[in-house]
Amino acid sequence: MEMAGIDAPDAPNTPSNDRTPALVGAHAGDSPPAGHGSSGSGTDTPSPGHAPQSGSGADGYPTPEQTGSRTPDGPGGDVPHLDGNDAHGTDGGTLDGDRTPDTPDRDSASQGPDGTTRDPFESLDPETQQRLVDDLVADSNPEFPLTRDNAEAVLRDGPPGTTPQSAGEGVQGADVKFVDDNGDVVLRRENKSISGGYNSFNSAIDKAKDQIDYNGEVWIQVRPCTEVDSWIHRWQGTRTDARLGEYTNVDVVFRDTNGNPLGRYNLVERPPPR
Amino acid sequence: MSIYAYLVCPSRKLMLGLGKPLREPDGKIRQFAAGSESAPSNSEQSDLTKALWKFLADTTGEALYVKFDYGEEFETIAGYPEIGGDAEDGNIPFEDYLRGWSG
Repeated sequence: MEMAGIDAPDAPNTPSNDRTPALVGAHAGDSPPAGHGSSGSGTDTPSPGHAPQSGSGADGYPTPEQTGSRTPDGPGGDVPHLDGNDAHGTDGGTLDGDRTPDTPDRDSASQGPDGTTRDPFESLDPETQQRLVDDLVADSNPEFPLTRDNAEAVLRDGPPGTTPQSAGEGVQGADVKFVDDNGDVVLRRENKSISGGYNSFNSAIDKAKDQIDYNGEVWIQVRPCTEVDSWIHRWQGTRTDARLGEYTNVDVVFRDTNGNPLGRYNLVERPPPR
Repeated sequence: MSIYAYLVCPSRKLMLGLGKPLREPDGKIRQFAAGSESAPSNSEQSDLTKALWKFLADTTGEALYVKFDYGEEFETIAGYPEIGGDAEDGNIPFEDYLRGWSG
């Protein structure tokens, strides 16, 4: 819908400097290894142990240069795709309105049969998995909706021992929370689906960091071939080290609509100048 | 929800973030909520509420719209200075916007 009177802005968001950083901590994979991420400790206090990820792939994830930044399947990206059946049930998984947050069915064991740590999403029954994906898709940008692949990716690879929950349309704050058996939120993820350019990205980050309380992950779906590196460079280039320091525990994860991981960035990492 | 709402004044090229729209089961918007799940309700956030009143005074006579952060036009809207946004992006922090205002 056209809105009368909306003209091109006077470029208030255009950085006036040329401090575009050359390198950020990008990772082609969009899912952290166990223990990675902006996990809290059950409170809103940023985890002191969170270390910014280097851009060298030292955390086990290849850099975009190593992978061409268009790796089709990162960890969590090669999962079976849930079909579109609406299995929206009444039990668990969604925090809706004034309902008491409930917990989806989850197997008591958080380890797979081979003893490896199990993805918490895999511990959910198929109906709950479907419902959580449905919730996220229904709750996204109606003109550029989250794909089912990307919705499922957001729900995957949570901290071990947690259960993913979706907030739904009735609850403020982050879209996805990974909650441990004590009911503490260990990790928050906020979804954004951006069909526009840098201005839209900038606004999305500004709101998402508040929604996750400066501690968690912002997952952003973009169009294929979006130059997300340039967005990160520009965003960081307008901020001082002190300001960036407020984002120590904020990671941004990009995926395109084809399900390709485009990069994971820790926002506090200021890359060296070009 | 990943959607966010803004109060927008196109003629003044100014906007104010309202928050995530919280909906009733029938889809009707019940309220907007800015911030995390532990944040006070919008009406209990004094800076936001004061800024809303000042925004209304500042834009008297102009057309105002409540817009969501999607659609082609949002890329333009997102370039407007936002009341309460980060100064680094050309926005106007609440502290600056409300300084000396007694309304």
